[in-house]
Amino acid sequence: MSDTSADPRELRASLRLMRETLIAGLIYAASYIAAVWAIKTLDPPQWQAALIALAPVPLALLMLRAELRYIVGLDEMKRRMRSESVVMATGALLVGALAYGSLEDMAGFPHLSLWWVFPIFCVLQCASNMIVYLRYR
Amino acid sequence: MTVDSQPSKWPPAAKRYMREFPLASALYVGVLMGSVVILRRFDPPLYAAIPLALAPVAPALLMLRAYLRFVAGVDEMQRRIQHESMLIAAAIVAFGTFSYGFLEGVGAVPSIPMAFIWVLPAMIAVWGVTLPFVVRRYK
Repeated sequence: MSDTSADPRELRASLRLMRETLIAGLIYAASYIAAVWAIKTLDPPQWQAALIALAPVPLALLMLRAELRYIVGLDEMKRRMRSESVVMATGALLVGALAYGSLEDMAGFPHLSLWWVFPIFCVLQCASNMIVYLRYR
Repeated sequence: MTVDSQPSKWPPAAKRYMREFPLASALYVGVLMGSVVILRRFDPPLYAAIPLALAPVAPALLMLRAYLRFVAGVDEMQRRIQHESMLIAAAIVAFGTFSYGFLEGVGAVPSIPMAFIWVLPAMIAVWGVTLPFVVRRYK
């Protein structure tokens, strides 16, 4: 019997991850846009602007919760693959950030806002997922 | 009868990690200081400054390698704890830096020079905080 057939439990877990991540992502994006709008339009004092800007962060953690729930529901092999891709992406991010920070400090490279860390991490996570998938295929 | 029959407080992977990681860290500090001194004193052209600035990345990779060897050598449960705490720390740092970048953009907080160099220390600090919580959850 081939073990390549899709496991219905795993399929359900994947669909739940997609659904939860999408909902959490949309909530986060909406709250982020609302925060930007509020700060730009109302021009509040600095401490209020900081609070408004930080308000979307707890909502972003809903995405983390969805990922953790997904990992817990996976079988041993899939969990290992997922964990490996997280470690790979995090390692690449940390080494890359260190390299760029050094280049900025010592070789005069242009300043890059910390805002970029999250999008770069997402791209690295996608790339590492593919690498790990191809390695275990 | 071998000495292995004596129960050891630390598994071999942890012992190796405690040997390799400080060594790589010391190397990192040494290479970083060397690079800074050379760059400040001799002000080399860009083509020489770039490899000098990137030189500390090599020992940083050794630190990463030491950690990966450690995780590969521990049992399944420990590995799970390490990976989960790393994922949580990475997410917190990613969202935290995203928010800080946003605050920086609207002028609510000052711009951090060489901001990216702080990502690694921030990650290690957050990870240090998350690890005991994850360990406690699995007890």
